[in-house]
Amino acid sequence: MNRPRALTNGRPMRMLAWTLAACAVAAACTQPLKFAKDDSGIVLANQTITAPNPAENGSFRVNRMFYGSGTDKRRPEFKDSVTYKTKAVDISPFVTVPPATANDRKAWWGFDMKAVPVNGRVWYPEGNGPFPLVLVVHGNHNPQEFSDPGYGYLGELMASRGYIFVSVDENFINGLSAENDGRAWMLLKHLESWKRFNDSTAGPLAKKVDMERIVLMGHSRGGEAAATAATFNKLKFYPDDFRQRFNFNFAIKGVVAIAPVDGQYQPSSMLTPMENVNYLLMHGSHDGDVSTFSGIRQYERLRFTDGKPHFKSVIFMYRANHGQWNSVWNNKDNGPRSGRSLDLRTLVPVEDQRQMGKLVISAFLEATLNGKHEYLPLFRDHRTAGRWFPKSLYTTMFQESSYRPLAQFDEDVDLTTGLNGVTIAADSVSTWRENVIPFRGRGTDNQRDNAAWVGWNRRIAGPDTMKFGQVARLTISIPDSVVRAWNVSERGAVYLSVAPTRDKPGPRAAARDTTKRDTSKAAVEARAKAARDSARRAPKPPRPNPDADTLPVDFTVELVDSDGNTARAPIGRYGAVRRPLDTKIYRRAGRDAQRFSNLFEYVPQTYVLPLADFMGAPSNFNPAKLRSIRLVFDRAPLGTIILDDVGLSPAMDATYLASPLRSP
Amino acid sequence: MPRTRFALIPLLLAIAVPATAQDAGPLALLLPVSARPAALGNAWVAGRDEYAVFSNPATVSATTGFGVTLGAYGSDTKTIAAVSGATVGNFTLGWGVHLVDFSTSRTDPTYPFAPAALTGSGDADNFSMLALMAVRMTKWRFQLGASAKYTQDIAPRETSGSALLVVPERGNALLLDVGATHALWTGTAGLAVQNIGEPYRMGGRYVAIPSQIALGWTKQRPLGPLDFGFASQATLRRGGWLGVGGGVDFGWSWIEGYQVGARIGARRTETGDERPVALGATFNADRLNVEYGIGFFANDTYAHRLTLRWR
Repeated sequence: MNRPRALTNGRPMRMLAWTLAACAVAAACTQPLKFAKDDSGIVLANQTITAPNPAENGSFRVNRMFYGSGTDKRRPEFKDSVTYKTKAVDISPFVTVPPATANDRKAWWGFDMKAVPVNGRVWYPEGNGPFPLVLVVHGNHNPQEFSDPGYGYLGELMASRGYIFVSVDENFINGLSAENDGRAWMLLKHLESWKRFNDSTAGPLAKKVDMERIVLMGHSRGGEAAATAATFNKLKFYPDDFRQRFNFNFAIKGVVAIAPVDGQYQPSSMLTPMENVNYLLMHGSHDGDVSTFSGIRQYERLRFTDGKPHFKSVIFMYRANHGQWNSVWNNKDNGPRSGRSLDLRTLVPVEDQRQMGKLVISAFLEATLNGKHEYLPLFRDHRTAGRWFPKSLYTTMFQESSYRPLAQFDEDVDLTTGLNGVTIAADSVSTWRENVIPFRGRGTDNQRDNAAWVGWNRRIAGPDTMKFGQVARLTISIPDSVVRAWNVSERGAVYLSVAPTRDKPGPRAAARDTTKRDTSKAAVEARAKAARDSARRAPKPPRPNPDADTLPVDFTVELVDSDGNTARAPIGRYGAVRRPLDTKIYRRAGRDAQRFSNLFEYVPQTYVLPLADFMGAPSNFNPAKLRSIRLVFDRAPLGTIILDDVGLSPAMDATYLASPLRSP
Repeated sequence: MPRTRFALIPLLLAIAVPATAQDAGPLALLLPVSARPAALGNAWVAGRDEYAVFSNPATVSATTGFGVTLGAYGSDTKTIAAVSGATVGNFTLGWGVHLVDFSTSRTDPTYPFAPAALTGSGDADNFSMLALMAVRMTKWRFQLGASAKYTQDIAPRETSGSALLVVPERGNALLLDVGATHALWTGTAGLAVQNIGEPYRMGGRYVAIPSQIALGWTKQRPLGPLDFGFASQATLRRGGWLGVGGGVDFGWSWIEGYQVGARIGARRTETGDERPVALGATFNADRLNVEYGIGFFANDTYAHRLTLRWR
C-alpha cells in the first residue's frame, strides 16, 4: 500500500518526537502548586467587631483633581488639568542621577533633578471639612509606566469615607538607586504644598484640609520613604548634609508601609529610626520583588517614647504578591515578563488582595485619624474581623504603647535572663538557644532581631513509640518589684510572639538505669539476646518528611501568681497556630530553594493574652501578683518555636481588648 | 518599531543588488564565525555575545562564558571556532580562534578564495585560520574596544606541473580591529574598523587585506509574548565594495531560563554564488545556548553552523 509521503518519510516524525520531548522537558521544569494547609475556614469564621465594615464606601461624594507644574510634557493631567499650580523643587541634594543617563532622562522628562515637579492626583470628599490628609507614594517601577494612578481604588474609598487622598507622582526618580531619601523628602514638600492649598483663600480645598491629621503611606521603596519622611519631619537638618535645613514639623499621626524595602536609605549609615507614630505594615508571602520581609525591621525599630497612645501592626498575607496593591503594577513583580519566572497561579485573586488592603488601611486610618477605636481589636487579633478578610492565611504582629518588654532575647547572651530582672528557665526541652531571626532570602542579611529557639520532643528514644517523658516547659519569672512598679492589673495583657519552625528534635534519651546489674555470664548473655531481639522487632524509624507534617505547633500558656495559683489557656485561643507557611513563588522547580534559605519567612505571630481571661475560679489567679509566665509544650508531641517579644501591658486600653473572640 | 522599519527599507534595496568577488584574504576574515551572525545577514557589529568579538571588539561580552561553533560547507569543508572571555578589573577580555579546513582543485588559480569556494571540493587541502585577543572598556558612555588578530592561509600549489611536488604556500598577517558601541535611540549602535594591516605575501605576490568599516544597529524588545531582535549593518570595504545586511529574530520563552527562537537574515553577498537569505534557530536552557544557522549557495549546497555556548 502506498502511504502518503509525509507519513512514510521519517524526518517529520523525528521532528515531532523531538518537539514532544522538548515539551516534556519543559513541563518537567515547572514545579507543581503547593500551598500551606488552608485554615481560613476556621480562623476567619467569626466576626466580633460590630462596627461597619471600613472597606465599604462611605457617604461622601467623591471629587477628583490634579495639582502640579502645569508644564509636564509627559503627563497631560499635570499639564492641562491642574487645579493648583505648584513650583518645581530641587531634589538634587537627595538624588543622584548617574552621568551616563542624566541627559537621556532630562531629554525624556523635560526637566532634571534641580527642578522636579510637585505633582499629585487627588480624591477628596465633597463637604466643608476639615478632612484628614493621606498621602501615598509609589515605589520603584519602570519610570515610563506611571505608577501613581495605581492607588485609585484606595483613593475612591478613602475620599468617600471623608479623607483627602493624594497619590504623589515620583515617577521621575524611578529607575535610580540610592534615591529613597529624595522620595521621602518629596513627600514632605507635598505636605508643604498642601499647607499652602489649605491656607489659600481660593481653590476647592481652601480651609478644608485638617493639617493636624496626616498619614503617610508608601509602597515598596515608597514604604520605606514614608517612614523616612516621618523621621525627617522631626529633624532640623538632613542627616547626610547639614546644609539642607529641615523645617517641616507636620502632624504626621501614622505611617502605612505596603511591602516596603528597608535600608535602601540609611541616614548616617544607620537603619532609619522612627518614633511615636502609628504604623501599619502589610506584606505578601509571595512577593516576587521584595521577597524578604524587610519591613519587619522597621516595625521592630519603631519606639513609642512620648507617653501618648500609639500602636503598630503587621498583616502578612499568604499568597499576596508585591504589585497587586497597585493596579498599574498588578502581577508583574518581576517586570513585563513575570509570568516566565514567577508562578502567577499561586497568587490570591487581585480583588482579594486589594480588598485586604482596603480593609486594613481603612481600619488603620479610622483608628489613627478619626479615633474610631472600635477597629483596634482587628490589629490585636485579626480573627475579630474574620468575615471582612478575604479568604487567606494571615500572620499578624501587634504592639501598643503600654507594652513593656520582659524578654526580647537581644539584651544579652545569657539564656536565663530577660529584662528588668526577669529570669528564664527551661525544663525537659530539646532545644534552647538564642539567635538572630534569619530572612528567607539567601545571604547574610537578617531581621536584626534576636529570639529564642525552644524545641521539645516528649517521646523517649527506644522501640516503644508510646513512651513519653515529662512535658517540656519554659518559665519566664518576673520579680515582684516589677509587677508592683508597673501596677499590673486585670486590665493588663501578656504578649508573646511565636513563629513555628520545621525543626523537629529527636526523641529524648531514656533515663539511665542505675540499678545494680547481675554480672553473671548467663545474665549478660540473656541481656544481649534480649537487646538483639528488640532491635530485630523494632520498626525502622520513618524518614522525616516535614511536608507530611501538618500538625500545628501548639502549646499551653500558664500564668502563675505569687500565691502559687495557676491559670492556663491554649495559645490557639489568642490567634492562629500553624506550621510554617509553604511559599514557592517561582515556576522553575528548584528555583525557590536556589534563591531562598527557607521556603517560608519567619514571621512571629503576636498573641495578646488578656490577664482577665485567667482570673476567677477555679484557679483564683491574681494578675496583680503575677509571678511567672510558663509555656507548657503539652499540645504537640514535638516541635520547635521561635519565641520573641515576651512582654506585659500592665493596664491596656480596653478598646484594644474589646470584641474578644472565644475559641476553645 | 518605526526606526526598525526605517532601517529595513534601504537594507532590502541594497540586498537586491548583486556584488562581485573581492580580491582579498585570508578567507577566515570573510566568513561569519558563529550561527547567529550567519543567520542575521552577517550584521553583528552592534550585537553582543561571546562571538561578537569577531565582529567588533567593543562588544566583547562581560559574561564569563565559553563557546564552540562547528560548521560545514558542502561536503568537504569543516570549520571550528572557539571563544571565551573574562573580566579583569575595569577591562573585559575576549579571545577566540576560527579554523577553516577546505579543499579546492589543485590547479585552481583563484586566490584569494571567495566564501563560495568552500562549497566546492578538490584534491588540494587548504587551511585558513584566525586568532584574536580583544579588550573592552567603558569610557565617556561608550564601549570602546581593540583587538589584535593573527590570520593565516595555507594553500598547496603545484610548482612544476607534477602532482608529486606540492609545496604548501603560507600567507599570514597581523591585524588590528578597533570599535565602539553606544546606546542609540532605543537600541545599540556599533562601529568597527576591521582588519587594519598591510597586505600579506602569498605565492610570491602581495594579497590585499579586506580592511573595512562596519556600522550597525541592533535592538531587542518585547513583541507581544515574543522577544524580538533586529540587527542591521553596512560594511564599506577598502576598494569600495559596500555590503549591507540585516535580520530579525523571534524568541519565545515559556518559563524562565528556556527559550526557543527562529531568525532570518539577508545580506548583499560577496559573489553571485551565494544566496542572500539565511535562516537560523536557537534553543536556550539556562546557561546552555544552542544555535543553528544555515546559508544557501548555488547548486543546492548549504553552509551549516552549530554553535554551543555555555555561560
